[in-house]
Amino acid sequence: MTLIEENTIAINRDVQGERKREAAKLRSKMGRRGTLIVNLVSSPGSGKTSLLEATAKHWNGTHRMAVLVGDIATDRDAQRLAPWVPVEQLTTGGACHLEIELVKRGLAKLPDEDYEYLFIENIGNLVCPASHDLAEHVRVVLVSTTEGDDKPGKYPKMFRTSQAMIISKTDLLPYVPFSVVSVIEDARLIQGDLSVFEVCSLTGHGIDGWCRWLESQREKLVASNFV
Amino acid sequence: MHETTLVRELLVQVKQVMVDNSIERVTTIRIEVGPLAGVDPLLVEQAYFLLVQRTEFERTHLMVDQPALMAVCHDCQRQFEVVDFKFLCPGCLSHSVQVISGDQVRLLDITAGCHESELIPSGVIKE
Repeated sequence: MTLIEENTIAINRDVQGERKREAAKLRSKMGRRGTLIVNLVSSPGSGKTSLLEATAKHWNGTHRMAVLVGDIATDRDAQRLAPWVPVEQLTTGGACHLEIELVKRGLAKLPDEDYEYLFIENIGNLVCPASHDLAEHVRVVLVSTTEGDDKPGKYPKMFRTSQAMIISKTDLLPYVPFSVVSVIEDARLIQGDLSVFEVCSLTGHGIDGWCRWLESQREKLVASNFV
Repeated sequence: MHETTLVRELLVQVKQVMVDNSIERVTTIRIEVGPLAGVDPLLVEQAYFLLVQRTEFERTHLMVDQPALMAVCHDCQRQFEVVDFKFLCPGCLSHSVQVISGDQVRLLDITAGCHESELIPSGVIKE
């Protein structure tokens, strides 16, 4: 038989639609339990793990938090966080980003408690993680002073899809050519509502404000459960 | 390099449409990759080329449309093209803008090569 007629079928569907719906389901399920999910994204070495250590130390057991930490290889980050909080390492074996299935698997391995905060430390990469909804309520992007203030313009999707930006390693500002003013200006041109925090995880500078913001985000989430 | 994951997902969805519509052969798959889709159109094409080798899609042509990034202003309701990723309303200079297209990879349509006995009417498949 030969092909005799061509027939075009309109579909018009987001290729990632199914995964997005799956993420939305998990987000609302965790939200109803009062768990705020925070997706931490940045380049490698911007200080995601250090920020989580500083956050855990600051709260000092007063808030129930857990961490899913993604890496291409090793469980070094999980080892660093284990003295402070329940943590599960997600190893991607080469993949450059986390996906919702990995998050679900990690979540199932965590001790089953009602966490107030679940942090997902993504793979260090400002590109691919921007396209993957991990069921987070808030996405937070870190930019360290050592990596340069030109990152927002170079990786617009990551900044467009984030709700907060953390400028980390502020103790190094006197030694590096990094303008806090211009990084904030650039980022807000891409995402006007971006909340910004300047922190140094080693000294604890700015951690208080960051933690208060997290608490206010969770209060909003819990309040929305009663609407 | 998550273009491979994406193309794999795309092919799964095309196969499902084929099953649902009793299509045996697809001549063209048309997708749209916007500027804020987070993937590179060239890498999508390369991933597609590699993934369809020795499959039923080996001779299926992938067409990649590249639409503009469009947004709407919440304050003055103006629709405009976002240039250089500056999310600023050109009318009232508001930052309160929402992307309305160009931030996704969309499967637009597929063209089926049909046999005479299997002709089916074209229709829109809803999500």
